[in-house]
Amino acid sequence: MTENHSSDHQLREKFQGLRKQEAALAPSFDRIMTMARCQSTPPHGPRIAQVLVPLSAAALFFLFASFLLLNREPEPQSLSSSLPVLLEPDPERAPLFAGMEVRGEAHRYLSDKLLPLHLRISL
Amino acid sequence: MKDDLISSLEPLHRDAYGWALHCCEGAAAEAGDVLQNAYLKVIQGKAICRDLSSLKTWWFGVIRFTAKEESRRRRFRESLAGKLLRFPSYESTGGDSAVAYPLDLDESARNLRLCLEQLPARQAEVLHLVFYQDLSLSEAAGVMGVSLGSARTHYARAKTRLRELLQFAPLES
Repeated sequence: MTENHSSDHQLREKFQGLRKQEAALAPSFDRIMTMARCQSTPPHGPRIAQVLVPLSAAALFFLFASFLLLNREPEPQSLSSSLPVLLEPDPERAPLFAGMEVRGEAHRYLSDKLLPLHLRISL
Repeated sequence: MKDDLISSLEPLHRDAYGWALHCCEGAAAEAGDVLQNAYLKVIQGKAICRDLSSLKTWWFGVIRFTAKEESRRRRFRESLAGKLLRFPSYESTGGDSAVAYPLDLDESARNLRLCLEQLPARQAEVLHLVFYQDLSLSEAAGVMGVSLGSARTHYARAKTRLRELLQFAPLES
């Protein structure tokens, strides 16, 4: 029992030695408290600004996106719809390849007859 | 009320720093950050003491909780997700705090700290609270958030283990 008490006493002395040294190295109360007070103040402007800035940014983004959507160019049409119109047959002109039937049912030039891809040409 | 609390914390400041150091495993810069964040909680009214008679127990509990929060935050910041996100933390002061400086301890004190680090966390805590902070076992149990019986068990085991460690630990030169 006595041995335990003396041992406890030794432990306490060791801890108190550590306590003294660490206490001497502690930063002052005022310094830490000042830093905490500085930290507690909001970093950027008043609270109303913290709400208004993201809201106005979102509104600007929405306006810009709607402007882009409203003013975008129409999609280009496919060539299949415009090509027959461009190749409307001219009755006064002779056909490109004489003797070759190039007119289809709709009195239009068919592309595979205009360009004789079905022919084998030996080079 | 808040000012009263802050002025009653001033006499406890050095002990609180010692406890913060223990909770941060002897890292001075982190202990300074923890203590600063704990004071910040008091200033912002997030930590309220209802019973000033047990002020020290309450304050040490706040510091312990804050140290655990800081430790979790640090682990997250060091993780991959934390590095990818890297959003500014309002409460964190970072590692460039002005409180960062090396602790200049003598051999015996450094040896004791090294031995304490080898003990399980609860055992080291109870020894620190009883021998370093002069708290009773029931007060230590209150700070640690465990029952008195549990604190007693940790205390008995910790003393035995620390004696062994101190007996065989080589003194660092």
